[in-house]
Amino acid sequence: MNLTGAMTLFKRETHRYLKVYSQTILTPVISNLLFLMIFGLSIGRDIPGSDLSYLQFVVPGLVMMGIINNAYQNPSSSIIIMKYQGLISNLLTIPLSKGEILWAFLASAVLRGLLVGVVTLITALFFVQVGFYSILYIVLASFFSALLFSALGVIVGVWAKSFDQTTFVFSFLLSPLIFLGGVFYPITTLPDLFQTISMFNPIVYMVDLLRYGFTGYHEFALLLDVSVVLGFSLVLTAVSYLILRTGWRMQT
Amino acid sequence: MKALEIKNLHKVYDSGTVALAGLDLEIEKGEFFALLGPNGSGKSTSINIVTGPTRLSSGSVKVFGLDVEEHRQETKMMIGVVPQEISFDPFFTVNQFLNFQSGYYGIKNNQEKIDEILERLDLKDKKHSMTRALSGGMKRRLLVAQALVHDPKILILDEPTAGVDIELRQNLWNYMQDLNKSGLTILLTTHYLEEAETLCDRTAIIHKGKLVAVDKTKSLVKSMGNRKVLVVTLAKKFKEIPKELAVYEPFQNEYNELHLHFDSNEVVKVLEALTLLGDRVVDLDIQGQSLEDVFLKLTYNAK
Ligand SMILES: Nc1ncnc2c1ncn2[C@@H]1O[C@H](COP(=O)(O)OP(=O)(O)O)[C@@H](O)[C@H]1O
Ligand SMILES: [Mg+2]
Repeated sequence: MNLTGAMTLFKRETHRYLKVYSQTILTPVISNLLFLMIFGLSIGRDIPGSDLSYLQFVVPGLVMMGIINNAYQNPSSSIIIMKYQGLISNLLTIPLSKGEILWAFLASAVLRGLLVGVVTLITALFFVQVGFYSILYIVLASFFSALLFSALGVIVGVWAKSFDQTTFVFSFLLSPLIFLGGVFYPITTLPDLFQTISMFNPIVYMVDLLRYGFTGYHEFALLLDVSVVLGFSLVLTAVSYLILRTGWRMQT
Repeated sequence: MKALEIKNLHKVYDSGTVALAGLDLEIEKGEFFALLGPNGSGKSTSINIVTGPTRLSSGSVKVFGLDVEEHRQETKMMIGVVPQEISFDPFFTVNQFLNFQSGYYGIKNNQEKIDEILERLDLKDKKHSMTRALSGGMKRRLLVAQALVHDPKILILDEPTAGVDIELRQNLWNYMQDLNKSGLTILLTTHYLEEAETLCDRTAIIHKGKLVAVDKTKSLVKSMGNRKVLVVTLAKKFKEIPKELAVYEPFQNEYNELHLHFDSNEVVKVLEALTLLGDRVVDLDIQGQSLEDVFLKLTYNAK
């Protein structure tokens, strides 16, 4: 095991986005703040069946959105930049096992997701009163969701041959799932058909679980939420590891 | 135990290209070894299999007795490589970049070594420059620095002199010779025979993914005689090369160049023969034997 080596790759990955923190950490927070203002001001009403204001309802969703976007963004863009810069051959030459490489990418991406989540939360605290109903569920939901999308970012980064492809997945797959994922409205207020469709969107359960952690309010069975979050994150992590192991699209 | 032992190595890329077709190669500890071959002969492919980016199709590779497939991390630790393609982490300064590189090899504090290498490679005053701001020659030297930070046991240089100017090239070679004297095994690929001649104890020549010749560099060069090449640039290619030139083993390439081979003492005769070519001649150049010429001869002799 090459702990120092893996740690160095983690630092390299982290250094990469912290160096441009205004783009990578602050920009997403600002767009989240805009969401807060637009939705918070225009939709003043409370959430039916709860004592939450709309803003209190939407903040956990925005935190989750920040986590997902950034956890995905980091490895997918880092790997595709490495491809463009011809750095993959160095990555495959340094004495790190595929597991160590994966660990470094995931750890750095999870950290970035969580950082954006925390910063989003802190800024929201200036506008809304946010509770911390269950720290355990907050940590569980944010960590495993971050892991899930970091792993997805690795998979897409390895698969993609161009930047366009990573952004394509983001804009046409992830973004719609996020926007329809219960960030901005309770799923149970949707017409039946859309409720049924939403049940197939895993993001719905992640948002629900995180919202439960903050507010105690949830729409689905917690066991279902937890199983989806844990299940998907472990499966995608395993898939990303297997993909790296085979050397697919990396080794020639 | 050999520093590098390649046995019956085959590589077929996904595209179907056969890059290596049963390559055998052995390099002794402490050798300064040249691997020569024209473009596309499989030099980089073999190196990439030894270092990691490319998988072998069949055969085996051992580095200091360890099989690269079974002991990936251990063998990687022993190898330093200057790849053919220049590429760098664009986000860092020279010093940060080399510190990261040391870290990948498990070395936490390596500043002293890094400073020493930067000094030897004339990069000291670029220590805090961004890697992307370096000139082509400096980038190549930084790649050499990158390959040395972890004190490898074998250094592999894949056509390292492209883009490095003559003075610095000399400096680089002096450094390599010093390192070699202090025990580092070096494998150099090139397509310049001269480079191998001045630096390397032994030279192997590969062609189409196979070993064509391996010997002491001196003997190899000697066996090829004191041949020179007259390169004639033509206005228009010949459909058929005049019969009178046949004694000079002529061949034409895709750049409208006609190569004529002769012994040094025949220079006047060959120039006279040019009158046959009339006003097709655009330019003339006399060169030592290029590797392609050596090949023609070697493959010819092999028949
Ligand atoms: N990644 C690759 N995919 C497919 N073919 C390749 C790849 N890399 C090299 N080749 C082919 O393999 C052969 C050997 O190439 P290479 O090892 O680069 O030779 P050299 O380094 O001696 O110039 C060439 O025909 C080349 O086109
Ligand atoms: Mg090459």
